[in-house]
Amino acid sequence: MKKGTYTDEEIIKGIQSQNNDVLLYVYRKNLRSVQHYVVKNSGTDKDAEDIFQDALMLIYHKIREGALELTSSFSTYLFSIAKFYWLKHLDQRERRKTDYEECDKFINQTDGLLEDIIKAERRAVFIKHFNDLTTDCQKIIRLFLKGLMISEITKLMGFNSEQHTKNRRFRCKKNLIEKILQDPYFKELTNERFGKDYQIPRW
Amino acid sequence: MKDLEKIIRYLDGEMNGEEKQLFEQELVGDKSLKQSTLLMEEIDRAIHDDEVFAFQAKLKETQELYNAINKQDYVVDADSPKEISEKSRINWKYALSAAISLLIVVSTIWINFSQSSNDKIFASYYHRYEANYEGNEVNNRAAGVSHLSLLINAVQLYDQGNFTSALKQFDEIIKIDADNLVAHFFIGLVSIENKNYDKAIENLLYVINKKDVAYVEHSEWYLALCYLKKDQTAQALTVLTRIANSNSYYKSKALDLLKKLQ
Repeated sequence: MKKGTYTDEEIIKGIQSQNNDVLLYVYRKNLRSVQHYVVKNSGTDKDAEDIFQDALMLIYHKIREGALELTSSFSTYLFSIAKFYWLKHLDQRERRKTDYEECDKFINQTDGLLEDIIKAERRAVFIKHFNDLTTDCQKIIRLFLKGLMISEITKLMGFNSEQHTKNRRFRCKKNLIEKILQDPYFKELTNERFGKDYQIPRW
Repeated sequence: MKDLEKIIRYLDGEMNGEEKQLFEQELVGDKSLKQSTLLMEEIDRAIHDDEVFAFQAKLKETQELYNAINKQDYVVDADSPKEISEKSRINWKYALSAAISLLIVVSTIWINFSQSSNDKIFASYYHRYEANYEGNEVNNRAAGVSHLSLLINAVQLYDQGNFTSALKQFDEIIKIDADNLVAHFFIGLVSIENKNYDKAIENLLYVINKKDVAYVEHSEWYLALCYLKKDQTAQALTVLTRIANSNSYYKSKALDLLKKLQ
């Protein structure tokens, strides 16, 4: 790939393959306008950096799901997502309610973006609490998710018995899910996504 | 609590055929159990994807690198990408008239310009570009798979004033990636510190010719100073005029310098 400039197609491929040069180019070309928007709207440069990263994570997921269809330039799309993220953040911070539909019409290319952002925010909550678990807990959960046999996991973790491994996995997962369910932001996101009728799991 | 145990066993594929069938029948009739299972599945999906974690780490590193090389404040002049282009169009009219007036000024300056003063001017206007790298030690995770870590280290060395080691690392990067504009930009800056102005000019021009949005403004300013230092006054004035006619971060400095040269 050339280094001076990239087409939108090259940027999308570069994000998918996590290409360093493309990512740096995306930052250099787009972060300043997002920073300006956020700072003008009661935020800081650091807030802008955070939502810029969130917006790129969302785009990465959409690319991987094959669900990214650009109807405008990549820069405009990225800016729109960052703007949405920031409005959502202000809603949460200032207990207000933005008319996202109005925003949608204005930006004209963000169909279903609010739903995407809620999904991404839920993922971020899961990852945050997962990262807060002990290293052992993280390791056990991920080894199970990778599909390793209990006997292999027991050996890898240096445990005495398979039952102990199972018990540890249960305790770790229970701990994780309790942290998630107690997170007030997660409750808010759940209500936004499923409505007030959603029943919080009963464990 | 039994539900959680069952869900975990179901999702981790530990149920036998009969158990699985019973659980799935339960799911159909029990809304709460279904929602809990879907939630657990959603959590599992989010936390077990190595590539997502790698991407997140990479974004963090890219942000660090971006901050390291763009610490100097810019004047931002737009709300959105669309507005940037509209404002640029409007500014053209003013830029054109300013260019004509400046051209007249520049001609006068050039005639009166004294070669011996260039060193003094360079000394008072040259300030080392501050990358202000404040990040933590580079994570070894990225090392070996890319030259990004090498680049961060090199910028950090430059920031610490360790120009010899910084230059060595930037040269290494150029060997791997001949077109790396960050490296060319910093080689230009290190070369100024090493008083190798020809090498500085060569590298800064490389960045300018690639029209790289992040470094053109800085490169033009340092290029003008290099020309002054080499007593290539006409070239310096051309570059300074170009900066003065743009919305560059260095616009006021360029105008000030042009006045002084007069």
